[in-house]
Amino acid sequence: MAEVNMQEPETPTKLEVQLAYEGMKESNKFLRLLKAYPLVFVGGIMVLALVIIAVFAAKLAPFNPDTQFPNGLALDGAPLPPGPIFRMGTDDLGRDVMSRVIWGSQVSLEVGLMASLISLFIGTPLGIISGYYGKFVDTVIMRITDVFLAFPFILFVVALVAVLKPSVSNVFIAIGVLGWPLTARIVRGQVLAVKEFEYVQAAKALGAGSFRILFRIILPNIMAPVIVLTTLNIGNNMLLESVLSFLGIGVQPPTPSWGSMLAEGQAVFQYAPWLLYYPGFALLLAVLGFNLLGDGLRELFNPRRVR
Amino acid sequence: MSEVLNITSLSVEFNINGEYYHAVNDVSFHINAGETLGLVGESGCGKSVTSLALVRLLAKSAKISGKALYNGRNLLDLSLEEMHQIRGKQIGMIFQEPMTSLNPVYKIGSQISETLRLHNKISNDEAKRQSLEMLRKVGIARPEEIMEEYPHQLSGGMRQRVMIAIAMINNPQLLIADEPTTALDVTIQAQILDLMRNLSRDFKTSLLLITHDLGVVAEMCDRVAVMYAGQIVEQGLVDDIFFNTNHPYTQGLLNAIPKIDVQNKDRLQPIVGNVPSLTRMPKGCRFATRCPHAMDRCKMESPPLMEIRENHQSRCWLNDAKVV
Repeated sequence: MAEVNMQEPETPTKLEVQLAYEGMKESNKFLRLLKAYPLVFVGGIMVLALVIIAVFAAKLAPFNPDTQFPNGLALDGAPLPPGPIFRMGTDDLGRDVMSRVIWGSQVSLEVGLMASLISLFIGTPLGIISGYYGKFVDTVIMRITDVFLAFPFILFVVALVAVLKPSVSNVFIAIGVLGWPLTARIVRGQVLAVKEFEYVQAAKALGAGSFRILFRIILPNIMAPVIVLTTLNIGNNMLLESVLSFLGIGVQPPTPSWGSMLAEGQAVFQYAPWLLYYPGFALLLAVLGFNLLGDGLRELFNPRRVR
Repeated sequence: MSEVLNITSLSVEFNINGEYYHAVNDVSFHINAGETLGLVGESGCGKSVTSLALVRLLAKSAKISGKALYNGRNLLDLSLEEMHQIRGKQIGMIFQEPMTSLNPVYKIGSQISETLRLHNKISNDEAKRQSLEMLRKVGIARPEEIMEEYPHQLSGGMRQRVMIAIAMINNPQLLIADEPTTALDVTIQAQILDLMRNLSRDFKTSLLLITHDLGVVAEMCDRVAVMYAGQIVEQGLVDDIFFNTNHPYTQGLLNAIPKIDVQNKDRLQPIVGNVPSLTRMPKGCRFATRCPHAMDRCKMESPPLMEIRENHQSRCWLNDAKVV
């Protein structure tokens, strides 16, 4: 085998190469990204804060969230407003609201994350198979998603949780299992676009089998929108958890959850509005964080983005 | 010389609105070891379909008949598993669009070594080493850096070199190149063609070169098959095709090439009319509607591929008339 040597005219010279790399220094890159996509960072910081709070809830919470403090109630039995000891006040059982909000982040995050992952792991393979094979398989899978999407979602979750018995894990299983059709649809749409690219044909021509084509060639190329969707889903699923807990079929007392705190606070909110403010505000920030992060990631993954 | 590929009466039918139509009709040709065969024709004449049919990359709905013997094994009878073994290992393919034939999410290095490891049991390091070697062979400067880059960082010419590297990494016996230079500009075209010629000589690879560019054919090929509307209309050695042109269609193609020594500002002679649509093929000779020499017989009967001299066949009734 002889060497075939040919000059490549478009090859940059040594000097140009070095210059090009210098401009790519890590710190500069970071600053540039920060400037171009502030949303990702704002959302990211909010999500990170939530994660830290949830993980270190035991350390961060000033009191045990379930303890009913005798000094947590006014003389007439009314909850205490925010003060020096109970910074966010107490609820009508004399429990510290701040500790409960902090512990509530665990439930929210767990349900949001797990439900989204379940949807992801069911929806992605089904979407890929549906988009790639088309025809009969596609029709069957897509009609199943139609059926799922046609049900009133909350009603469906309520029914499923009721059957499964309410608990944290059953809540995320129910939300996750019912949430996959959206993922499957989006994945399918992406696959339909990606499978027409020549590199898929090229991979086949190089001897790749179906499994390889699906999961090594196509899957990495459709991940960007799927990641965005999953991030946005986490926020949505956290909201759903609150809705279920608010309705009393989600997380069961005494486990603190933002939704059940809202439900409990609703009875006394005329004279103890802080019972709604703090869990409501926590929920708002958490969902907003994930939505900002999702939107920011969508920008970041947009191929037409301005660099 | 031994035959690497022998295709006999290959036909491909597509289902259009419930009826089957021939996109490729009774195509036969062979490629000897180390030889380059040019498959020429205008867009839609079935040349790409022919190549895809023989490696079985067409949609399942396409009906394929005939034989495609690769080293004596009929590719059309093999199981999918056996086909995976042959694709990329024994038959390499290069496509028209270098911009989209590489997977955008993997580095160049891993794309080359993936192909290698798919067909050979070798370590990652060894695959890397061989990939680097191959990049050097296809004339990529600073291959170590290119290994770590993504496709979008390379130019069209470099990507096509990488595609060639991927197609050649397993040292295939047959390389199918489907319009490998169409998307490149002329200076890069010349380099890529040079590269392919040198590689196929060094690796003793047979080449099936699909193109509509007769210039490329003249430069690269040993033999040529000219296709029109799904049939081979003329086949022969490259010199015979260019200098003893027989079929009116081939003549028309040659007349339509701009020439550098035209004196009076002659206009180029186009082939008048259009290729008949797949669903409405004429009964007789498929070229009859556009042929300047068309006779009554041409409109009634389809001419067979006739041997007009050794290694030169043409599908035209004019030859029959001469014999009589």
